[in-house]
Amino acid sequence: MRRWFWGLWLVAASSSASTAALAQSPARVAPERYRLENGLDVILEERHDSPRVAVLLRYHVGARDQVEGYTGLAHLTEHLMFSWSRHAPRSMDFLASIGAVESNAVTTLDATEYFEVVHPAMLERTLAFESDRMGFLLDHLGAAQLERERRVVLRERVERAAAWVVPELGRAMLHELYGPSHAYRSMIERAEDIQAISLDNVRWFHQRWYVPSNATLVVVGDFDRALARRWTQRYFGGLARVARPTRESAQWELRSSERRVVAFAPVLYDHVVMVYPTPPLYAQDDAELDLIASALTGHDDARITAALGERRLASAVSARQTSMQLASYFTIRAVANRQVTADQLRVACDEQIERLRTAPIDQRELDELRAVWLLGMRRSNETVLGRASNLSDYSAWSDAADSFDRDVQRYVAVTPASLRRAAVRWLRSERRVVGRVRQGLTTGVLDDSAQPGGAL
Amino acid sequence: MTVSLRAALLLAAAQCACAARTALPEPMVPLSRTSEEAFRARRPRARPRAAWSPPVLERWQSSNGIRVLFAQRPGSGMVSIGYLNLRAAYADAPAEAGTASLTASLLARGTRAHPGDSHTRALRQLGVSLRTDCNSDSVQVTVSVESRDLQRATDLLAEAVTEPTLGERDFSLLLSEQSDERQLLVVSPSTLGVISAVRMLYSEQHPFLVSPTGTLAQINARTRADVLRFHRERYTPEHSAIVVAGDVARASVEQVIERAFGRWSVAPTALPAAFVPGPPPRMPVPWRLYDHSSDNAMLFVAWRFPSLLAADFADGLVLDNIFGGTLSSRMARALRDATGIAYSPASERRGDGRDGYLVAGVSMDVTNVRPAIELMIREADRLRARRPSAAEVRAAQEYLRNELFSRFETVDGVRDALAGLVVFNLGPESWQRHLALLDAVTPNSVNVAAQRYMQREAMSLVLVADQRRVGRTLLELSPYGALLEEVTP
Repeated sequence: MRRWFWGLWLVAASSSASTAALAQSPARVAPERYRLENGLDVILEERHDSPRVAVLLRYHVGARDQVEGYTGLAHLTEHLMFSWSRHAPRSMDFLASIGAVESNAVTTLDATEYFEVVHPAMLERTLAFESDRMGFLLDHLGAAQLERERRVVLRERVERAAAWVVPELGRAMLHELYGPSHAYRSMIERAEDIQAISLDNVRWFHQRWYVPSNATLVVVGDFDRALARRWTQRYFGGLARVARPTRESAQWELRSSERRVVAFAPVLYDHVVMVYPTPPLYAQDDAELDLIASALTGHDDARITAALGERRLASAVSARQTSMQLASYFTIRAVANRQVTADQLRVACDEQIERLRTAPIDQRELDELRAVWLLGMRRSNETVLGRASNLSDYSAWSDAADSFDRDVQRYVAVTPASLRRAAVRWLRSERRVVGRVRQGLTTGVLDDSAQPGGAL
Repeated sequence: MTVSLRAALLLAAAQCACAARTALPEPMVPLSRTSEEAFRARRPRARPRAAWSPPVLERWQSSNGIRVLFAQRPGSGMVSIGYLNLRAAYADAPAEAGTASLTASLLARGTRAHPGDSHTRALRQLGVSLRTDCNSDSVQVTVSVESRDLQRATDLLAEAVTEPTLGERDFSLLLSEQSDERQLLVVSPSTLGVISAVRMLYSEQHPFLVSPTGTLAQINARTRADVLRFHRERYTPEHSAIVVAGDVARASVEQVIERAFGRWSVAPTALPAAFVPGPPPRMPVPWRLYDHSSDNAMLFVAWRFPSLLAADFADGLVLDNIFGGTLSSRMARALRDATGIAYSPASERRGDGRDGYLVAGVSMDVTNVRPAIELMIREADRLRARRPSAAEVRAAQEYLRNELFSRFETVDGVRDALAGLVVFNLGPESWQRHLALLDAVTPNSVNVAAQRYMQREAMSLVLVADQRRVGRTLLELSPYGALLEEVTP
């Protein structure tokens, strides 16, 4: 499952709807993809079923592109994109003035996206605005904005980190998932790095990465394609051409022994989190792991959900494949009930992981899982923003304007045998990191690897 | 080695491992590498707008008297169908709040024709599951499928509504689940804060004071027999409606509904009168502190606000939008942009056709509690004291128009819009009327609404924070020191 939201550590609803179905609709026209001379990648898709247009600008830069010691630089730059630029008012003011809804930005490990949904009457203004913060942001960027957004990013970090219960637990667990040389080695922002970022650091980062040749503009909705092409050329076409920057590649080093981490926090009940390194988005077994996650906790009688529910072990449980461009991870989380320990949860979850091998998912179970998944993909294309987001994701995978059908085929091709293969290959205890949150008066994290029995 | 020492060492090691930091290159000059183009200085004009056309509504009754509302949405390939019950909501029987919620939840757990999990499995073969929602004014059971699966999905929906198993084992399991969930809710500062801030606005007997899932005592007192009786008395064709939106023709929908629901027949039972609002709220509303040992604090304030059917509903929407409803609201500017105190301060208007409220919340470091309270109160005071600018109102109107359009973007959204017509007994013209009311909002009417609803003494305030660190601050700021309540959940 794609879309790894930086700092949030959870995944938004996945992918898209059938291109074939879309093509059948008289209100919708198949998307078009082309490049401007300065390298800007453009995808336009008309659909006239609602007076809305989604504008999404994806920059192919994310947290993985930060230099060691500068975690948070990509995220802070994203925040500063909402400042003034040379010809445009402060972004928040502009977006408010045109009544933009669903406007926001996200920085993931792989990309940074800016998006808004506007009335078709406001499309030209929106394109002019987006081009201005791509080409002219730095003229007006000053120390005051940097300090203000630094405070906001630090605050956001605290609020997002609550997803891990203990922020340091997430850092300790994810830091070594793929080994020390991997581009994803520093997944979690460090406060001290954010504190040390200078205005010149941001300027350099923006100049290097926020260039037309490193961006994809996606426009989906109720607009006239000829006009949109003209406006895109007018506002983005004149921005200086700069060579597309190169990105670091991945060097995997998978663990050979399980790592256990214990965190203490003033929680009411124990938590357990198990994280396994898994293959990249669109690679072999990625689709299988999406369906395995559904089989484990995707519905009320899913394997882990039912097993823990019957014994009243957990009050909440979830499994998820978080897919990214260079590598992914598979997470199982559970919150214990009263008088249940994290170790009991871990053992119960492990029993179900083992059952994926001993009582594998059969054809009937697979058919149900797949039906739910494919309908979810299709429904994510219903909204203009959902569709724009899917086209943006696909833009990094393929040169085609739309890769929905290709994506669907990954799930159609899944078999009971391939599910079992993926479970055996990737859900291996010696490669995983297990985190447990125990009750404590103060917050702290310690390495429990020397005590596999979980004495702590 | 003690836990704290080991923890400190591990953390220090983790930090040292990341500490290598090389200097980044200097940025290039000039900072912007594109030469100036004259046209950029001129802001493009907004283009002309086409009139918005809401979905075309069709209404009829099934042979057994169920009201049906349908809106076709060609091209989507999807259809969404919802069953509504207008007398089984938790506020329809406040004394049986737990029963209403339990009954609704049990509908999706097996039927006579498909006992146990075979019902959910049959739905999963279509790629879907039933959603049940028991709110203050209706129960809704919904499912959205590909158009070709409408009949099968509707048959399974009808089974769930008309012939649920309501089995003893499922009943016991559901009680356990709700009890467990409740324990988690109590320790969630945001849930605790929102619920508490809203509940403090109302007197006993108000529907918003009824716990949607029942109190723990109510739930523990319930039996399966209560659920069976509740279902028998309240789930009848006369209290029911069906809403359908999607890529399907009316004739098909009529046929599908008739086949699935047409034979459903239940003798009517006399029910107690529907909800009657209780006495006015206590004034002034107290402030409340929940002691929560953490460096983080959460602050919530709430006011009564116009209901969905009130004449000044649109004024309330615009007021919310300007106060805290968006990332560019006054709250966001004060607490985020100007001070960096908070990441995502926000407000939201909620409610139903009988009543409404505005709740605003912010999470912050505990050291920032004082400025956060002062700034929130200041922004409310400003809205009461002075009219907002015309530009603010225009922007809010534009935002709210776009938000309305977004509700008609999916088959689920259209289905929800149809459900709203049923629940509030409105006609389709209400959608256009909503736009007209929105257009009629002025800076003056927003100011009037602020004076009416956002009074200081009508504001509830809940702080979830470390009492030792904020107790004195709160007492100093509260205009009602004697009314301050400290609670340990």
